Amino acid sequence: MRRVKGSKKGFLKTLKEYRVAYVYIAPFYILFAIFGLFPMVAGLFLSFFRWDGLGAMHFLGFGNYINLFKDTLFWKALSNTLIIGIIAHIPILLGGLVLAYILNSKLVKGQNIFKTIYFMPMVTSAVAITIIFQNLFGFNYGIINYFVSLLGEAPINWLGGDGKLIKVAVIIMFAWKWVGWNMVIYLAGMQGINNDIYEAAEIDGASHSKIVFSIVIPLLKPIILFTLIQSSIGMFNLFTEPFILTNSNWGGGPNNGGLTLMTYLLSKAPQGGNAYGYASSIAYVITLMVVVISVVLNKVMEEKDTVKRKGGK
Amino acid sequence: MTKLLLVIAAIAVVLIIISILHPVGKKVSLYFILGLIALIMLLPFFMMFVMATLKTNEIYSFPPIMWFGSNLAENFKNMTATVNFPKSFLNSVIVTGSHVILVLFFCSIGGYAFSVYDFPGRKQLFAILLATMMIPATAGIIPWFIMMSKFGWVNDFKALIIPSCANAFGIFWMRQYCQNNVPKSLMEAARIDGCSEWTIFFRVIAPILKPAYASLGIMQFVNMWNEFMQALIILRKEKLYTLPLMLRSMVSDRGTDYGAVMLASTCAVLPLLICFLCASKFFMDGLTAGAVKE
Amino acid sequence: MKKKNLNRFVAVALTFAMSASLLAGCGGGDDGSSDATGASDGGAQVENTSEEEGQNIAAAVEEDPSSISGTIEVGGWPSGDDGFEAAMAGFNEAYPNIEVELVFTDTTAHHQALQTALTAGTDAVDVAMVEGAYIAQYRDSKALTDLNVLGAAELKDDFVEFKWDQATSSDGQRLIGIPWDLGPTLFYYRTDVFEEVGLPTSSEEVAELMSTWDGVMEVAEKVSIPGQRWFLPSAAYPYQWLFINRDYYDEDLNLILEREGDLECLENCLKIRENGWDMNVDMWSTEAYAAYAAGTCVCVAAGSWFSGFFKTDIDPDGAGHWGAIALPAGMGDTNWGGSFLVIPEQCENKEAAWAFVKYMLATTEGQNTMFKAIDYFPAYKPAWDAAPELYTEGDDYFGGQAPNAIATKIAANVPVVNNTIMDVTAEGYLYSSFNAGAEAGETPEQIRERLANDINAACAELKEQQIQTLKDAGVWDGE
Repeated sequence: MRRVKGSKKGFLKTLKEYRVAYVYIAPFYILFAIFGLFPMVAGLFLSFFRWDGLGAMHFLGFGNYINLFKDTLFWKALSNTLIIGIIAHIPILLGGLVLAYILNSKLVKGQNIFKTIYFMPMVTSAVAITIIFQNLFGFNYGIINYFVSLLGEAPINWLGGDGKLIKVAVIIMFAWKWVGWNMVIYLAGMQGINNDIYEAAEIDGASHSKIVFSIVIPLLKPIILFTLIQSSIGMFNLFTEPFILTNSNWGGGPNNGGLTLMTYLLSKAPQGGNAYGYASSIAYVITLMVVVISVVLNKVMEEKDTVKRKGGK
Repeated sequence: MTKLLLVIAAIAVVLIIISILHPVGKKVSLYFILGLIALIMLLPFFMMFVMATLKTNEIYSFPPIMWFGSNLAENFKNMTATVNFPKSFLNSVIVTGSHVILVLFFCSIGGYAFSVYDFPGRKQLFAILLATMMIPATAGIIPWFIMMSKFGWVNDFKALIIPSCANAFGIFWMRQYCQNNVPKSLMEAARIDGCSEWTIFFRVIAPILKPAYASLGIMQFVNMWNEFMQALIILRKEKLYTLPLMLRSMVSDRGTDYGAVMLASTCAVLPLLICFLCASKFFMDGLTAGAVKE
Repeated sequence: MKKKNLNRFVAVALTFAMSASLLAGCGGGDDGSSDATGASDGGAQVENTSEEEGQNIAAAVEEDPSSISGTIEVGGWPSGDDGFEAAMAGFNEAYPNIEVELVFTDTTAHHQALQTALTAGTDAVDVAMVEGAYIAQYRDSKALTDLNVLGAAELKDDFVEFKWDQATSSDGQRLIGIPWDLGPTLFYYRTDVFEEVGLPTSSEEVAELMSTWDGVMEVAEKVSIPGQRWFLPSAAYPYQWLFINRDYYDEDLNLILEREGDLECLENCLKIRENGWDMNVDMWSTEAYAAYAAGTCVCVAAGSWFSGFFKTDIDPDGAGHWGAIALPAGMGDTNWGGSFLVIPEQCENKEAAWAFVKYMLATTEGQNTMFKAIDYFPAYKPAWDAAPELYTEGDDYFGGQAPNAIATKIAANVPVVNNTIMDVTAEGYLYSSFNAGAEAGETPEQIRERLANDINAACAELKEQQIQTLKDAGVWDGE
């Protein structure tokens, strides 16, 4: 567009020309540099040290990262997080899509009521709700075990036992919270799709499942990607739910069944301990994973897209 | 466990058979499933309301009590005796209110700028913005606190309100909405009329953004209303407690009056729910218009 | 081309901003003792109180109480505040010009706020409570005032030895906190249920009966009705009692799980679990609390401070149906927790802070008033003799039994042990590793091995950190 001669002058000139735009976006970058970037960079700096927050800092180089790599609990936490995350995505993604499709296709009446109810879990306090779930899953007095006892079975130790069922409880909570959110987003996307497409497909005799898989999902791809990235971030930040469900146990209950990455990070610092350097290294590994997952998701979505289009031609 | 799964499977089979047999059956099973999910979604809320009217030892009894009890007044008395609910509520309103207003302002101008101005560096800056969304903030909490102390913001709402104005998600959201709903022709017409860029934004654009304000506003409201970790290390004094801190302070090793806690939780969540239910239509509109297409 | 310029500008600007803020933030503003050597002091760069200042403060507190004025903030968790409030009138009389503001929250939040403020070097309360489990991470910290400088050394003989030792730095030079209370471990039981099933109820007889594992199991079997009434909240706890002094590690930081009678103990724990005699829940869970009050969980052991929990929160209407003895099955005299008061070095009114700590913890009046109010058993020995009626007479809540007399006996016998920063984490695993092992049908040996593996995995980094702290203190000779 514009030709630039002196680089410095050119920069200033651009700045002036688009000053409105720059002024509009400046607050974010300024605030982020001060309040977001500084702590993050300081955190990176910390991750190369061993520091208890009170005494001297000791430089370790990549020591924290190497120790983390050898840390069996870290791997346990990672696998727990992935198991919970991946399984929970089935109801969140598929359930969200199906619900959105049903509500959008006018198969039933009262969409607005259902929509509002399904979304309600997003509008609540995590602490309060987790206390209630702890109660629902209680071993001796829980409501779920009450129904189990009505069937004549022995009570199930959801939050104790060998620790496996804690994951189930967490997945249920995670899905409970997020399914409505995804549904609303997908619904929004579907309402943007021209109704003619559905009608044409229906006239062609396509079944609902075919419409979902061959029309709706491809068209909603960017939106699905958006929700996927969002819930992946949610997955890596999963903490309050498993923590309260295991009665504030930093090890995540028996066999570390409910130990998530974020719980593990916080157990090192600043909440459960004071290994600031080690905690920072965990945080950076998590960050790296989130970034990698986002990039991979982006790539996968793009690739599928091009393959489809080629195939279509 | 096995029996539980069996029962679920049996219900599923029955529903499938019904819906294959007859179109009305299909409708019935559809309503049944939607209704069941709605029940599951509502159950925790319902239990919260129920428990707010029970004594703690009634909450922990077997078989569980699943209907309203008679202890509401007593719970209310205990709640007001242990915590200052109105004060905490006011604190939450101050923090959340100013946060929402500032975020809506900064995010709408930012998102708008990204969507309509074609300035150099736009792509890169936007990529940076998206990248910041992916980083967990937890690691930086100690340096962040050191900074807050240096600013003298410990025990000050500013520490919660101002840093959180840098909201990448909000800008992303507003940009999406602007791209789909702000016609460039409108801006150009306004420019021809001699409006300055600021005036265009406030007079012409902002009204169009109302649904987006509603949806982002509710999301931010929910986030800040429930903000816990930062509030925990910043607000040390009881008179500054926001609702989540107040709730937390009611839970103690010494034994917790869960009836009172549930009542307090109910009181803390109700405003959110009411806000959401009132703005539900607006909110959904904002989502629809914002989320559509790239 | 332009793009490149912009990018470079952004990069330079960001780097500049970052390094500037790093210097300002982490260096504490003034020190050059930098990272070149690989070690530097952290954010909490606060000057330590000098001998001379210390003497002045001590003199002011000692000789001229009314000269000290100002407001101090005292932080902690409930029910410490009730204790302070009870003793406040006496304090105000002794130091009429000091205002005290109580900043109280729950235990975890309090410790996190304290740790963050000490790390940052600002905004800490002037006097802070520190729970026994957390004291190890502060004992070598320079962020807390050395109370020996303020003349605390002369109080040493008045306090229970093992508590004093916990607050003394590894090199034995500094003292960072004054012990408030101990938690002589008591075993609480429901006398009404014992009576109902035909067991004796007086503490002497119960102690006699439960002095062996056979007796314990007899009680467990008699009081339990699986699915309805249980002996203990969890079968893991008898095993935990063996470690309740928190002596998990020896001086060389080796994990010591093997101890006298541990396998026999585990065997019986497993038996309790198999027979459904335990609720299988955390003893701190609300589920368990409700069961104590309802009489469906019949026994529980804890530090003697738990008496206060019973009276005010768990079972306020339960007067007369609780009894207490020392730990059963020959597990001996042990201590469970108990807190300290510390004064952060950043406190600007050390006279007032020290006056407060001294009055509350090192006078019989302060300690006994608080003991009466909240059952925090004083670590200050003169308090025991000053008001013998508090320590020997029957307690109405306990149906005329005198748990405090038992506690006093225990308190005198608790040994000095080695505490480390790993203790809290290790303790968390006793419960969950036992449950996991029991669920997997393991033998006592296997459970012990599982526990050792779990603790070692979870404490690896903490142990390195502890070694580093000891090295920095110059008291580590190992490798």
